[in-house]
Amino acid sequence: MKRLAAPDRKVCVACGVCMKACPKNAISIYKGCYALVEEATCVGCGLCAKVCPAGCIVIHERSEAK
Amino acid sequence: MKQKHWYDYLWIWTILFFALGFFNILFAWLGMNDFLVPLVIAIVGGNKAFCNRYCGRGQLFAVCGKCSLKKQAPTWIAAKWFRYGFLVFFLSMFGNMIFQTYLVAAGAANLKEAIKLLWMFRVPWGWTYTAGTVADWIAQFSFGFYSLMLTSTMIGFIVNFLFKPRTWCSFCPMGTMTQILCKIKAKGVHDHV
Ligand code: SF4
Ligand code: SF4
Ligand code: SF4
Repeated sequence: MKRLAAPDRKVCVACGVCMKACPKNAISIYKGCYALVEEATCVGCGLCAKVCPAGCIVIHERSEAK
Repeated sequence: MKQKHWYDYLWIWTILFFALGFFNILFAWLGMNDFLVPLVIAIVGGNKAFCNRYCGRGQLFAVCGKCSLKKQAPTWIAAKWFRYGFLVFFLSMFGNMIFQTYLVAAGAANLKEAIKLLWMFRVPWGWTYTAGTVADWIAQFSFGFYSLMLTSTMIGFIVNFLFKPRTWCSFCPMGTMTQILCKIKAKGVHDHV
């Protein structure tokens, strides 16, 4: 996979909208604090970024995403 | 399609809540569930399972997502200053509502059979209550609490239409409060990397 979702933990409100939208179930809400993407599972489809009401998910190219 | 669970239908509860309050205001007390359950889950469980799974209001916004322009809201809507500021504002309005209830209980004010929308517009709501059914303060709290619930849902629907579905959740006072509680609880635990 070339792309990966990266939620901004400082902005994330932990609403879980992205988690519900992810077709791969790659997202969980870590201890009620922020969205956590399982890197190995994420296929970079961008559906989560599209629905995030806070607009805090960026889809990176994997090479840039460390 | 993801598998549906029983809790994916809790948005029906939210509609039912508002409908019941249209006929008998005393049902407003049932809304305390939506106030206490998320706090208990956050304090005891240290998670946002309420927002993530069980909140009927959040689901109702998602269900009504078809009727939305789906624009990205401005960034300040999820900014800390706005979220915390809105929480403080909301809590003070909640405190004011409790104070009004106290005044009625103490006999210093009369029961007002009306609801107040957006903290400004008084709407007569007297048909939902027969005077004397319960102690006046119990009825006063019902009118006040129902007003808060209806007001926040109205604001939620406005932003739901203008912006992405569930934009309300990015600054919902309950959501902010439970996230703060979870963050306090998670402190000291190693951050996931
Ligand atoms: S980019 Fe797609 S697969 Fe990756 S977390 Fe978002 S929705 Fe899931
Ligand atoms: S949808 Fe956005 S704000 Fe909500 S939990 Fe996911 S990343 Fe965080
Ligand atoms: S943020 Fe508020 S409206 Fe949204 S799911 Fe949580 S409690 Fe419900």
